[in-house]
Amino acid sequence: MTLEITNITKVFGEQTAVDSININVPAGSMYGFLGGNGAGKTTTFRMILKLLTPTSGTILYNNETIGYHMTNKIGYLPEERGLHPKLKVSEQVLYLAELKGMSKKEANKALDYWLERFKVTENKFKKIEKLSKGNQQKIQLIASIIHNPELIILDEPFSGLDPINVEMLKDAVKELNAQGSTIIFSTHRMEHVEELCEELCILDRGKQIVSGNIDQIKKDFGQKEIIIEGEHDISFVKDMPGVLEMKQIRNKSVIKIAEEKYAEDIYNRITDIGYFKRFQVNEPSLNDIFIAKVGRDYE
Amino acid sequence: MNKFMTTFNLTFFSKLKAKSFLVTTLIIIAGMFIAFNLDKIIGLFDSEDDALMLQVDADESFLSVFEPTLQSYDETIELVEADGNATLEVVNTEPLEAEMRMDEEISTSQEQNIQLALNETNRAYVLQSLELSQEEIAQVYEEVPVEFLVAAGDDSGEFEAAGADDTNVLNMIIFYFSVILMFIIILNYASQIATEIANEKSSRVIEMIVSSIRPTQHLMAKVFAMISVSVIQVGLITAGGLIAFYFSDTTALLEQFGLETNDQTLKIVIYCIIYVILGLILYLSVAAMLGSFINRMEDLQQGLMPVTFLSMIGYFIALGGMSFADNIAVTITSYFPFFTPFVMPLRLLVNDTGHTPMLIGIAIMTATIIITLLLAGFVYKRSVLSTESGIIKNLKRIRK
Repeated sequence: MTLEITNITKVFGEQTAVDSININVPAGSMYGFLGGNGAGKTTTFRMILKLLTPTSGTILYNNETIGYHMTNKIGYLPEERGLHPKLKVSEQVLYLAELKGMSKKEANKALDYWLERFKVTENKFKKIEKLSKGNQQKIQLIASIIHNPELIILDEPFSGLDPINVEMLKDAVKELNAQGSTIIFSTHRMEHVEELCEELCILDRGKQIVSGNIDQIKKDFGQKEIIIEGEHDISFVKDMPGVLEMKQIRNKSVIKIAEEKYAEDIYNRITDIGYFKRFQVNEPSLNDIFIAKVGRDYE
Repeated sequence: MNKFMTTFNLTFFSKLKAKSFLVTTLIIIAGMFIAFNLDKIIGLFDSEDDALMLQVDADESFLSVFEPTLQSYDETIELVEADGNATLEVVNTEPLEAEMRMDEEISTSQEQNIQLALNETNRAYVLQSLELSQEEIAQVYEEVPVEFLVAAGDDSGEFEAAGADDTNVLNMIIFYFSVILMFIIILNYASQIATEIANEKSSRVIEMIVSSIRPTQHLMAKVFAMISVSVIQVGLITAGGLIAFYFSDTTALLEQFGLETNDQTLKIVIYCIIYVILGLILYLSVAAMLGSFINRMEDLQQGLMPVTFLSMIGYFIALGGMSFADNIAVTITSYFPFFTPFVMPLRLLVNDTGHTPMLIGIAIMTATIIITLLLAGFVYKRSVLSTESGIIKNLKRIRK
């Protein structure tokens, strides 16, 4: 186990920002933190990094308390973007890389690689304030991963970027993960988590709604979604056992069932009627899980 | 330590390379070169004094007194027998009357010097007419010895020499120079250091930085870098001053203003340097602490007000306190750490207080600097990720 968070709580005055969270992040995994504004994602990250002291609970990285002796192994991209506006890109990144224990020579070589990778080589000697917001964000990401850290924490890495840049950054994150880095990132976009992560934690107003392996979560959740497309009337299905909800749009029906075992009965009943061009059993979406657990829609 | 040096180097070299640093240093050094060569610069604009050829229409006995007297007053006037551009005619000898005819107007100082030489010659004429012996004439010119005494002020009814309290002009200049220099550098660097810290916080880059280096270590690296830059600036200005002094012929200037060293000068120089450096460190540490409270640049000036006010009060006590430096209020303020660097050298200058109060002042300042730096680190650590807008709100947050 790489990162083990046990029962951490953070209280600011009257407000509980994070309420008894328990998470295990396996080494080499890509872990997603999902939650809207004020869910407690940033506070949790700051506690992992020791920038905030938890009110209670423990955080261990490789069975050790996180401290400044191991910050060179960790890369962090904060949610609130900002670099020294008056510094040149090279000065800024080399400074932050040196703070992570790199030599100037190593850092310079790595900087050239990443500038090339993100197609921003021409900005190396430009002042940060002269860069577009998107390019500043790329530079900040470079600064947080340049030292090839074991553990990378990215707080909303894709927010504010256009789709092309989001894809570029996603590829870089996947590459780092493939090279062995454990990556934790937060987002409020469910599709990013579904696409990138094997493990996730959904937070809502400081509370941990669900966490663990995504496939396992979906499996444990039980509910499935069936999509049926055909010309015949199948309205009788909504009264069959195990059916929770049914929506019909022209000749397409979307049915929610409590467990997968009910799908077979439905299949048998409708195929008796005649030909259907589609019968598909889907895993529940994260939004379905969120609604079921919280009792309201996501965000 | 490595990370400390990384932050130190970034701050130190970026400040050292800044245009403002180079410009202010050069302006002050240039000012000192000008001050040390003031007589020559004045001479450049006063060059008409050089060329007065004075023809004197008088007898030998007049010339034997007038010529050496005039030469001692004004070297720019040369007495010629013919073809002069001015003629001085002695119209009457008892009493002495003269008339001066010039091709063009001469300078006021030349006019005054001719007048003085004539007065002197007249006095010699009068004494001669009284048929006094050389000794008697010497007695007339002798200065009357007079002793100026003031009450000792200790109820003993005794008087002591007033001359003992006279402040050496050179020492006074050293003191004023150090106080003014310290005040200017404090205002300049206090604002720079607070801006630097507040800017970093408001740009939010700080969150990346403090995930790599301890906040206190980062702050200290910044403060020490700024202090080093300011001390280097003081050093450059002092070195510039010494070079200006060495390369300028200042003998005439020193004589003109009565500037000469005494046994107090070395002490004044050493303590002024120590107090300037300690004053800078103290005020910059306070500015760093205040900068830690600030999250928005628009709050900066308001946040820095304590530094501005305290340094200004200290500065004015130092500038205006010369006449009441032995007052008990001045003595008390000299032990208040924020006024110590301004007031202690004043006490040394005027009262020649000796080493003990100076060393106590240094100890008080050192202790205050250590406490301020610890406090700055404490505040910075707790407010580094705060986005509270006001200082008061931040204070409340830190107290929690």
